[in-house]
Amino acid sequence: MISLEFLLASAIGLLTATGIYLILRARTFPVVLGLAMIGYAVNLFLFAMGRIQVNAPAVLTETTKATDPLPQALVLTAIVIGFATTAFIIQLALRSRYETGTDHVDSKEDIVPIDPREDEP
Amino acid sequence: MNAVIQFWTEHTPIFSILIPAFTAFILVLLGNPGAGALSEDWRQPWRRGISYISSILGLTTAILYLNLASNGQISIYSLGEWSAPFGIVLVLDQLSALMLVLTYALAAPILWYASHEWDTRGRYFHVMFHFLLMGLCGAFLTGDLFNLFVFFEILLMASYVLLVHGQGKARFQLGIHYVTINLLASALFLIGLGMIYGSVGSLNMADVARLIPLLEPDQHKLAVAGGLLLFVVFGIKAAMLPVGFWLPKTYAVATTPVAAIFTIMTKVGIYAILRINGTVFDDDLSHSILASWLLPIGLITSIYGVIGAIGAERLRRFVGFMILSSIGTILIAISLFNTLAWAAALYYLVHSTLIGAAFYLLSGWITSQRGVFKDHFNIAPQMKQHKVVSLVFFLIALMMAGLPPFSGFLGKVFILQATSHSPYQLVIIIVVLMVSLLSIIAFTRIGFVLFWRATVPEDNPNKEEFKAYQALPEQSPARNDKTIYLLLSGLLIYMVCAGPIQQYMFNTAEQMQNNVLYEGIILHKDNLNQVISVQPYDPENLPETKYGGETVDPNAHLIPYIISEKTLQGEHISEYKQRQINQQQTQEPVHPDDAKLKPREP
Repeated sequence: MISLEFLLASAIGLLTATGIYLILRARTFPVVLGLAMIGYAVNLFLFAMGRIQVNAPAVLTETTKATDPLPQALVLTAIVIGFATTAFIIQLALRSRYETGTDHVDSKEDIVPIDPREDEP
Repeated sequence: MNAVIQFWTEHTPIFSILIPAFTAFILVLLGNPGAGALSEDWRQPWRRGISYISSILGLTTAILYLNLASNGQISIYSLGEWSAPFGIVLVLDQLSALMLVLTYALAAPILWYASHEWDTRGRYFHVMFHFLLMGLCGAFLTGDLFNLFVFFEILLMASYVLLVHGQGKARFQLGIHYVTINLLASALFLIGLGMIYGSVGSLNMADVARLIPLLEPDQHKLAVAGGLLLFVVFGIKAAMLPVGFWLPKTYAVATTPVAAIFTIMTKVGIYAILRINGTVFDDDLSHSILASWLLPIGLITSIYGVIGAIGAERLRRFVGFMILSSIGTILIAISLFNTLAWAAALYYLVHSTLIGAAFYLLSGWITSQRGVFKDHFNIAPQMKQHKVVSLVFFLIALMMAGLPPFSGFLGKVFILQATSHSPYQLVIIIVVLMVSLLSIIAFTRIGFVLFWRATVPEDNPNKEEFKAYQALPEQSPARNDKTIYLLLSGLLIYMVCAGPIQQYMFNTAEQMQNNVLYEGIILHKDNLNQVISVQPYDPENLPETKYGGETVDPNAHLIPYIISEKTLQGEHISEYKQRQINQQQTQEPVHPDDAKLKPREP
C-alpha cells in the first residue's frame, strides 16, 4: 500500500507546499526557510527523475541492476549551488535587518495597536 | 605564431568564457580593502588596468568570433573531448556570436565609466563584473541545458552582489526580493530540466531537439511541460508580464553602471526563450501552446510598460518601465515564429539593450545635476547643463519611442513588416503603434517636468537654496557624458548600417530555425547512418564493466566516431611512454600460444 513512489511523491508535495507557504510569509527568516524547503523538494524531484530503483547502486558493480547516475550528479550540482545561494541570502537578510531595523521583507513594520494578550481571559 | 593561431582555432569558442574567468580570479587574488579605503588603495589602478585589458581582449575575441560565425559556420567545442551528446559542448553560431558582441560592446564602455568613481563605493566591483560577463558568455555559448542552468547561476550570483553594490537600505531590501525571486526561478528551472531529462533522457540541446518528435505521446507531453516551465523561468529573467513586476523597482535601486549593465540580463531571458522554446522544442504541440501564450503576453507587457512609465514617479523607475515595454515588443516579434519576425526581434533587441543602458546612464547624470531633487519628477531649479542634458534626453526619447529615422523606428518597422502572414496582424499593428504613441506622451510628460518647467535658480545669496544650487556640479560626473555619447553614436552607426545588419539578423534567424544543420554538426553518425546518442535508461541493461566478465563490447565499432583520430593514434601518450610501448612491441614478438593457460608442472 505505502510504496516508495507514494512516499517520495508525497514528500516532494509536502515540502513544496510548506516551502510556498513559508515564502509567502512577511519575515525574512521564514522566507529563507521556505526557499530551503523548495530546494529540498526540487532535489528530491530531480533524483526521482532517474526513476526510483530499490537496491541498485549508482556505481556499476557486479550487481545486476544499477540506477541512472546522471540525475544524482545533477542533484549534487544543484545542492552545491542551492547551499551557496542560501548562505548568501541569509547574509543579505541579516544585513537588511541591520540596516533597516526590521526583518520585514518590505521593511514596513506595522505596529500592532492592541496587545494580543489583553484579549486573553 | 603558427602555434598561437593553431591554439586559437582549436579552442575557439571557449576563450570568451576563459578571459573574464581568469580576470576575475586574478582580481580576487589582488585582494580588496574596505569601501572607504579603495580610492587611496595603490592596487586600484592595477584593478582598473586589468579590467580594461580584459574587456578589450574580450571585445576583440567577440568580434573575431562574429567574423568567424558570420559566414554561417558553426563551431563546436567539446569540453574534455567528450563528444555530444555524452559531454557538454559549447556551440558558437551566429546568434551566440551576436550576443557576445552585444555583451562586450555594452560592458566595455560601462566598465570604463564605472572605473572612475563608482567602483570605489563597494568591494569587489571588478571581480563581480567579470564573473557576470563570464556567466553571460557561458549562457550564450553553451549547447547543454544543464550547463545553461549552471551559467545562469554564475551570472545571477554575480548580479546579486552587484545589485547591492554601494549598499544602503533600499538596495538590501530590494536585494532580498531579487534573490528570492531568482532562487524560486532556479527551482523551477531545475524542475523543468528534471522533466525533460526524465522523458527525453538527454540534456544536449541538439539531441533533445532531435528526440522530442520521436517520443511517445505521454512522454512527449511531459517534455513539453518541462519546456514550458523553462519558458516561465526565462520569462522571469526577461521580465515578461505576469512574472516581471520586479524589474522597474529592482533596477531603480542599483547604482548607475550596474543598472546599465543589467539591461543585458533581461536579454539573456529573451535569448534563452529563442534558443530553448523557439528552436529546441521544435514540434507542433509546444509551438502552438507557445505562440498562443506569447502573443498576448507580449502585447500586455508592452502596454503595461508604457502605462507604468506614464505613472512613474522617478526617472529610474521610468526607464525600468520603458525596458519592460521593449521586452514586450520583442516578445510580440518572437511569437510570430517566422524568420523575418525573428530577424526583426534580434534587430530590436540590440537597439533596446543599448538605449536602455544609455538612458540609465543619463538618469545618473540628471540625478547629479538636480541635487536634493534627485530623479524625482518634481519641479526643480534649472540644471546647470540644461541645454546639453535636454538635447541628449531628446535624442534618447526619439530613439526609445521609435521615431524615424532612428533604430527603434527601424526595429518596429521590421516587426510590423513581418506580421503580414499573422491572423492577428491588425491587433499587433495597433498595439505597437499605440505603445509608440503612449511612450511619446510619457517622454513628453517627463521632459516637461525635468526641463521645460524648471524654475529659475535662486539668486539671493543669503538663502539656503542659493548655496545648495551653487554647490551642484558644473559638469556631468566624469566619463558619464562621454559614455552616453559613445553608446548613442554606436546606435547611430547601428541605424546607418541597418541594411547589412538586417541581412545578418536574417541569416541568423534562418540558421537558428535549421535544426537539421545543428544536429548534423553537433551529433555524430555511425556507418548505418544512425545518430550516436543516448538510449533511455534501463536499469537492467548494464554496460560491460570490469566486474561483469569478458564480453565483447557491441558498440566498439562506434569508438572511432566518438573519439578523435589523434587521440586514437595516441596523441595524449607521453613520449617516454610511447618509447616504452614501442620497445615492448619490438622486444617481445607476440606468440599466439602464450595467451593460453599452460598446465601446471607437477
